[in-house]
Amino acid sequence: MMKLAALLVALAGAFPAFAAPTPFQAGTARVEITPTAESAVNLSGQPVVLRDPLYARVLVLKDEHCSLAIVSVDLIVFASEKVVTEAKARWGVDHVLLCATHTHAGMAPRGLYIHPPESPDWTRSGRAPAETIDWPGLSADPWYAAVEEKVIGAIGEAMQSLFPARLVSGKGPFESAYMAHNRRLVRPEGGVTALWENPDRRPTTPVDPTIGVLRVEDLAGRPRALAVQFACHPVALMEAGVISRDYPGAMVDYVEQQLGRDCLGMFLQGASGDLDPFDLHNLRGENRFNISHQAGVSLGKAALALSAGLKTNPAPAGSSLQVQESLLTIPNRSGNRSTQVGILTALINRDLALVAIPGEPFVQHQLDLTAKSPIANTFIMGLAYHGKGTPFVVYIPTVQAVKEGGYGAAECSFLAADAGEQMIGEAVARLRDFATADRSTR
Amino acid sequence: MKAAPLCVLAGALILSVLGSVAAEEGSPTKASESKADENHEAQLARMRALSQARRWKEQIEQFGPVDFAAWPADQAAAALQLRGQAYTFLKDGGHAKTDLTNAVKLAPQDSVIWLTLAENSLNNLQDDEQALAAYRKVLALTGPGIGWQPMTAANAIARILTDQVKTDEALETLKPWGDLQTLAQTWRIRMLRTYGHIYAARGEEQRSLACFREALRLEAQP
Repeated sequence: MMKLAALLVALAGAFPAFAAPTPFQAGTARVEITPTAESAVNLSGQPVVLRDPLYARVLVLKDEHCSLAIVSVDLIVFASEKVVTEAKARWGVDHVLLCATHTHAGMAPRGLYIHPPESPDWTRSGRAPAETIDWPGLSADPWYAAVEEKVIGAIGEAMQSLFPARLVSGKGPFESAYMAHNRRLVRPEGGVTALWENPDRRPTTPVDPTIGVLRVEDLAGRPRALAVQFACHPVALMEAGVISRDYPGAMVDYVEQQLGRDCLGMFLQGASGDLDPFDLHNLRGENRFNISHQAGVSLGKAALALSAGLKTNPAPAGSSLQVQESLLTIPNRSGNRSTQVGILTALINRDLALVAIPGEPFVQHQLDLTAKSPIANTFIMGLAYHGKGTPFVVYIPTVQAVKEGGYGAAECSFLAADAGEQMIGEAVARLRDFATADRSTR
Repeated sequence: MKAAPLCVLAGALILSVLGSVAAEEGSPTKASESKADENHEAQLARMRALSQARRWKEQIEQFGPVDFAAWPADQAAAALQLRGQAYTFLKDGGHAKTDLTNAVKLAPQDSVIWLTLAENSLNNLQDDEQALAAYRKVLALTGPGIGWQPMTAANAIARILTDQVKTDEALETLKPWGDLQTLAQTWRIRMLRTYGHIYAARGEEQRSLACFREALRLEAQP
């Protein structure tokens, strides 16, 4: 009997076409990273009050050959080489992707403070943040060091709680009363006016009124994670004197209320470099928090509706996770220096592509990527760092936007004007490689 | 009301001037009072002209030190309102409040003064409760009409209540204007946007978007 079993196993290995499909493995974890009430400060280093808790949420995906940990962190930026390196070493995960939700009401470590004149605005210096910020040195802030440890621990927790999973993904339209509009109003006579808010909901371009979802189920069909990709700056609570996750927090809370706490809600920030919510400085009083909440609920509802229409294949042909880390050398816009920029491209189950970029791409890059990608569901993940290259490149405008000028294009942006186009080109090339390799394997 | 013929008005003016001259000759006290009134009227005319020209700084430079307490109540109220308005536009909320509060004491039925007081409370002092009370007084005085005063007040009340996430009350405030069909285009657009923000605060997205879109459609009409 034992010999027969051994023979069957051997045959299965020899003839993969007859083998039972190997499902994905998935694992989830969440860990709170809220500072203490006494230590809570904003990016200016000013004391603020705790409005809602901050989290790091981890989704690990693993196939036979490869594992990827995606971490969504409720901070303006989170690019810790230490976390990537140690998580890989401790837990054996192949790729770690740290994605900030980009909430502008998150806690900030001391090393990132912007408080002129003693702490000049490093985003506007025209230099690479790697030159002006001591990124590894951010760990000198005890809260930040604790966050790094917590995130490493959460990745371990997710890796150690892997379960067989089915994945389904898709994208759909998102029509919202709350977001998003393009905040760069290019004037016909030339120049750009900053349209920080758009309370009358006037149409602007370009925008990308779509959302993407990735649903992870266990083999019993229970939802275990719902990752939602959408692009819009979470700025409604900026300088509101609070620590808050802003709308991404309301979105994950809503998703978890609807699907149960066993299901991890997760927000993945897209190419939001020039996108803002409709209401910003026009919001007053309690409604400022209410609108941020409503925006999250709106996104959550749309994500659930989209997810409900996506059917998993109960007997998938086999899971597939392909990940490629690229390192581009991109000249800086001024001077003769260049910057190494890490791009992570992932293809999940042949129908979902993620392109992780360590900055804030303008939305046109998402539109271009969608048009050029061989994969229907291809999403940019902005503010996403995988441990290679520079931690953060601030805004990534288009060549056209640099010509036009304005915030995010002529300022707070230091890479060559075509940096974004180079990144998208690299991602598309890698996705085509994946598709070609996949065809030859099949 | 028919307009009076010019000759009648001219005659009345002459009689008025003659009358004041006669009064001056007849009684020294009355004469000086009358001269003072004329002086006040002249000053008020200048204040009104500065206000119409939106020359707020000059208004304060010229009339900032004037003590209106000795003026007759109706003239003092008007002067305090004009100076209070100038302070309001210059973002000097404290001085504006003093003038406008004194003005409404002298002329409690003057809805324009209440409206200026409300705007100052809202925009300069960020005192929502005082602003609400003053806007409500405007509505009480004017009734829910379609003129600029009740429309300004109603929109502002609804916006403040929306800021406070008291959206039921905000909707109730706008109820007297029904489906907005009788309103002038400008007010209809403004009201639609107020509704759009109320519905957004309530999480009623489709209603909110419909209001904003209708406002944009109307705005695009010639």
